[in-house]
Parts: sequence; C-alpha cells; structure tokens
Amino acid sequence: MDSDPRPSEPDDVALMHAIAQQDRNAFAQLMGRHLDRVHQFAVRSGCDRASADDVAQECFLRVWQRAGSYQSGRGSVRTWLLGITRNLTIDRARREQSRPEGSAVDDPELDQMANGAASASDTLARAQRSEALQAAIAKLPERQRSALILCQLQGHSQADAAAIMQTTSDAIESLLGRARRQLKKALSTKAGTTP
Amino acid sequence: MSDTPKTPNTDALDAQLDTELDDLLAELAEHRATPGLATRIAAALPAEPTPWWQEPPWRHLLSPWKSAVAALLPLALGIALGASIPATGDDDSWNDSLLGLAVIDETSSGDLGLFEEVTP
Repeated sequence: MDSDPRPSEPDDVALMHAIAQQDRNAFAQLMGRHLDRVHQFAVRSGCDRASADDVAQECFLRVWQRAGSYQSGRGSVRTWLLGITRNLTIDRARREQSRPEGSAVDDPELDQMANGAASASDTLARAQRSEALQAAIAKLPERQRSALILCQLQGHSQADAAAIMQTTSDAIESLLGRARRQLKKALSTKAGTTP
Repeated sequence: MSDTPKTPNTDALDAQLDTELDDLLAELAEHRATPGLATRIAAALPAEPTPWWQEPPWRHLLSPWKSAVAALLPLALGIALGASIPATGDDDSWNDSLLGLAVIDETSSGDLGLFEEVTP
C-alpha cells in the first residue's frame, strides 16, 4: 500500500503547495504515496481495473489543476484525495447504471490465483470465497461500502472516514456494523450452497 | 440485529464468520495500482507554457518586428482593397480624381494633332 513520507521528505501539504506552482516532481512524489490507495478505493467500489485507472487519472488530474484550492485546515491531503475519488466513483456508478453483475470482481490477480492454483482445492475454495465477498461488497449500498473500504481495507480511523464521507463517526460505526452483517450473511449463504 | 435467539451454535458460527470475514478483508486490503499507471497519468498532464525566461533570446528580438508588421497589416490591406473596389452609384468624383489626368475634354474636336487627315 502507499508509503508515508520519510523524515527527510516533504510532507503532503508541502507537496501540495509545490504542485500549485506546477511542480511536476512534487506531483510524482504525491502520486507515488497515494495512487495505490486511490486505485484500491475505485476497484473495491465496483470499478473494473480499467475504470479504476480512469478514476485515478481523473483524480490526480484534479489535484494538478486544483492544488491551489486545497486547505490544510479542512483535512489531510489523503482525506481530500479520497473524497475526490469517492465522488468520482459515485458519478461513474450513476453513469453506468446498467453495469452487469459480477463486473466488480473482474480482477486479474484473482483470476491468476484461481487459475494457477486450480490443483489446490483449498486455495481455489478460498479464491471463490474471496470472489463471493468482493461481489457482496460491490452490492452493498454506497455509504456502507465506502465506510467498509475506508476503515476495514485501508485502515482509516472512523474519524477520518467520517471526514472523507462528510458525516459523523457514529454514522460510520453504524454503517460498518450494517455492512459487516450483510457480508457475513452473503458468506454464510455462499457456504450453504457450496457442496 | 437478528431476531432469532442466539444459541451457542449460532454464536460459534457468527464468530467463525467474523474471523473469516476479517481474513478475507485482510487479503483484499493488499492492493497495487496497475503497473505503469503513474507514468501514464504524469504523461497525461496538460503541457505547461514555456516561461518567457526559458525561450530563446532571438524570439524577443523578433517580437518588435512582428508587432510592427501586425500594426501595418490593416493599413496595407485597406489600401489594397480600396484600389480594387470599383466606383458605384452616380458619384464619379472618386473615380475622376483617380483618372483626372486621362480625362479627355469632349467639347474639343478630339483632334490632338497627332495624325494628319489623309485625303484619298
């Protein structure tokens, strides 16, 4: 996942100031820190990898164009970036209402894992469980899904997630509880149908 | 919460699902963006205009000439257009002034004395 700045490196806020002055090196540095996280959010929100690439590109293009409008007092750069990413994925989902079911699990890594380990039945079974989980995550309501991605997959605190989603920590806790119940239900259903 | 009363079995199943869910989520937490994506995004940034101090100096030497040509262009165009537009309407004064030297006095006989009348 993304790396935090080393002590000798400028922090994200300093990089944002440099990017506002059209500093491409600063831009590359900031992107190196946060690209994986932004891309992961898009993929786990239901984008296939190609769409996630587009979302990430659009997100960082906005950073390049609007770095000057970033206000450090209103939240961290990471919060700002993931807020942009979330809005982009919501917009994309609205445009692609006719998205076929299961496209959210179009993950080459998973395919590779499933194909390469076909002989090991337990690995394959686990891959199927993982696939089922990803499909269940993709079907969650957007707010539950975002809270789950931010807190459970990316390790944000509930306060950070609340800032990104512009809600309260209590609401995040509630969303997480509901999301986990839905996912466990999906897993238990899948277990019941698996021979 | 579910309305069904919890039994030791459902508790155990619930705990097992919790564990499995955490394990699977931990696997999904590992994620790398598409290789080469960062390079692609950097290449897609809009090109920034070259600052004036990085431009070659001859461009600045040329710029006054370009300005002068640009200023004279409408004047030259006006002259060219004016010369090519024929006179219209009844007012021939503009035409006459241009052709003044060539006007022939029609009241005269027209004999400019250049040719002698030859009688057969």
